[in-house]
Amino acid sequence: MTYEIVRYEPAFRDQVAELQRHLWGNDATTNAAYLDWKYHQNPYLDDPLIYLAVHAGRVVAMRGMYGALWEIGTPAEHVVVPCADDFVIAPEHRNRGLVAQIMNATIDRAAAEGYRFAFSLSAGPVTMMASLAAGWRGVGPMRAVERTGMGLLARASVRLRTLPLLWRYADPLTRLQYRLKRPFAHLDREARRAGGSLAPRVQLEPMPRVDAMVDLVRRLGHDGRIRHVRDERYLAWRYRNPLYEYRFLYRAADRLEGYLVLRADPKDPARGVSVVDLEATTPVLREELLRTAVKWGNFPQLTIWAATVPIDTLAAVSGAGFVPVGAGSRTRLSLTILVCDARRPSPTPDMMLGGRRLLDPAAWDMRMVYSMAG
Amino acid sequence: MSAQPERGELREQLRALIAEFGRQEHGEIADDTPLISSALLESITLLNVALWVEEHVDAAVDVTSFDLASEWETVARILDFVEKHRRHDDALPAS
Repeated sequence: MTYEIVRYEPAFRDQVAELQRHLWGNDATTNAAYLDWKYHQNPYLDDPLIYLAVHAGRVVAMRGMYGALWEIGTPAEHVVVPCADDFVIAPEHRNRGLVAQIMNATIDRAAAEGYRFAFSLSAGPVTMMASLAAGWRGVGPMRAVERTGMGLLARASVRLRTLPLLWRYADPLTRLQYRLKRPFAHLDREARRAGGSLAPRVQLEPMPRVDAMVDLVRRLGHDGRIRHVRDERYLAWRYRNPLYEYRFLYRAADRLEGYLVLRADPKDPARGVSVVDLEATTPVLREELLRTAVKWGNFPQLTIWAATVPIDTLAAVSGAGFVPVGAGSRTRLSLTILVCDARRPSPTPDMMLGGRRLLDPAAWDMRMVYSMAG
Repeated sequence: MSAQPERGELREQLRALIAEFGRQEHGEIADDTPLISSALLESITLLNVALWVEEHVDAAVDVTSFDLASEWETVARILDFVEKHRRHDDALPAS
């Protein structure tokens, strides 16, 4: 088979939405909305940096890079770095040599547009292997930790159906499980009962308080590590992701003292809920926000990337019952930051940006929300 | 304690794995046939190779901690990697 590797144009929008049923989800309308949000409405890249493989007039593979604005060093240097994502090949076209072609075309274009580096922040195991083979380098795993709650119900329901006499209790359990398909149902109900408050001075809301969050982030300062710029433009765009739902826990007195952001995937509730950002003026408030989310969310599965948690809050995470996910094998499970020098094949041995070594995990101040896992 | 497979046995296992999951249009896979630079091994096959390597070094392997494109470029280099890391546990790039 022969393929043409071409840059994305809006004329391909519907075909991309169809192709992405293999990755983003079954609903092509939602996929198109996600494409628009992520690439057309991206605050940092005017034109979508997407490459497609076309065979017989049909789009059969895609690799994209969305724009992200990073701040590095003290005083902070602001740098747009494209982030690779959304790698998909239609099943009947896999194993035909397309992987390297489309990955190389995308990174070559990024280099041609003047970008020195590219990041990959949410590659699954297959894409991670393909990226490493294409010369990307790993920074370090995000060390996902999770807290499981009522997930036992699903297993119990299946088991009950196989047992004499007890099978009749399976349906009530299934109905209860159905409630779990709305991941924020319990949290929302508890907040409604209390007029929006989950704890003293902790409010639950479905939308970001953009100005207050930006103000808090500015007050907290920046230690120079690599992190995404969280300004008004970014937050107003970021939480409009049409694939996910978000809830915001705000801890405020006269002004915002802390916030915690939860993410759920309504089309795939089995993915559970994740903490995608957590900021507060003190470790005590961070712990209070975390414990409030755990207590009132009653989530079957709540995940945090331990690598994004400040050291002074790790004990609180452990104390709240979070345990490592998939400790047995990094190959299979662990999400890792990947970095690529766009000037391949002659990359510098020590990739530096803003005076920081990109391959040093300690140089990063990550949050899940910076990646599209969040 | 069971004996570890010899290099010849590992070679045949690895070739069979690549033949099963790799691109179909390749010919005979020699010890020095380029696997990655030739795109003979693509992502899913590479993942399967990684799982196979983990099985034979009997530990998790941090695939981000070495130059995978170079160290796994041929069957011979993958076998070297397995032998090196199961002999010298302290050198294993594991999690």
